[in-house]
Amino acid sequence: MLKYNNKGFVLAETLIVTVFVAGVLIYLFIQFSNLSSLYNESYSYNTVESLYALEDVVDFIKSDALALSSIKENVKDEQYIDISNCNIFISQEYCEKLFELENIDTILVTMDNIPNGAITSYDSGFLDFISSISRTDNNQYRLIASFNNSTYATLRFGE
Amino acid sequence: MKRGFTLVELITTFALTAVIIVLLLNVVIIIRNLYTSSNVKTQLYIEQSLLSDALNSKMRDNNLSSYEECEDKVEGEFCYTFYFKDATIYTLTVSESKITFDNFVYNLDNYSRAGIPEIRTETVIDSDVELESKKILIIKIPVECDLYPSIDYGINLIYQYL
Repeated sequence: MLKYNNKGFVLAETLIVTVFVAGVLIYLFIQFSNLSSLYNESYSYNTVESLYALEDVVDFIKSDALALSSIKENVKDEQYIDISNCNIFISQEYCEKLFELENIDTILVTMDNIPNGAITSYDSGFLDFISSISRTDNNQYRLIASFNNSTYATLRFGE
Repeated sequence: MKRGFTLVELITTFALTAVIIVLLLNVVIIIRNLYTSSNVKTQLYIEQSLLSDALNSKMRDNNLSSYEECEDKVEGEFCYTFYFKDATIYTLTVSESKITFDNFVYNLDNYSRAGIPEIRTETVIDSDVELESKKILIIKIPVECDLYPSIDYGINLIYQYL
């Protein structure tokens, strides 16, 4: 007479448990990934040194009245302008030297309430940083910069 | 009815258990190392920020006038005195294990050391603006960490004599 073995699990039970455990592990992995990216961001976004570097740039911009008014006009028309090449400044050599010493790779001037998606033609790291900036509905201007050491910073400055 | 396990079953079980324990131990060691190194990294970034803030805020708030190397400095230490327009004087000293500026003291841990500081003034004579020259003060204090040798945890400060 054949022995009927009723120990063990049927296929359906095994599959259900496997799917459940896999789901929990995937959820935990996603949470860990989010934490890990936030942790890395905290080291590369808005460091103290990069914020002071942008303050230096603001001081320089405000010392050049013509450039400042040109920036204000252009930003209102075009939403953002790239001042990395220093063409807009009278003291172009000084500007280039300043950006070189501050390790600035790319620097933009925008309105503070620039809509998401308005800036597109830059590398993904820079675009991710730009999308993380919280915007307000005021009429202030904003500097957004990427540095050669892969850090990013943004600073608001007024009229 | 026979109870118990055969020798082969026991050996297989122990072998599998040993493999799982080794894997789990590896994970624990990795997480422990990650915890230690992230603590070190976090502390380095905090000290970097504090040092940068201490120097930058003094330079900006008090308006730097000039600087010079200290007359009486200790061997193995770099020392600079900064003179400000409001008649205040602050001293920056950098040794391999300690950086001080005014009341701010940064004691580097066993993993880190400060390098040779670079303090210089660059004069930019702009050919677009006749006879105008502008000066920029550069203060670089490199800090390296054995755990993260490719990253500089020091400061790179620029002061514009605008």
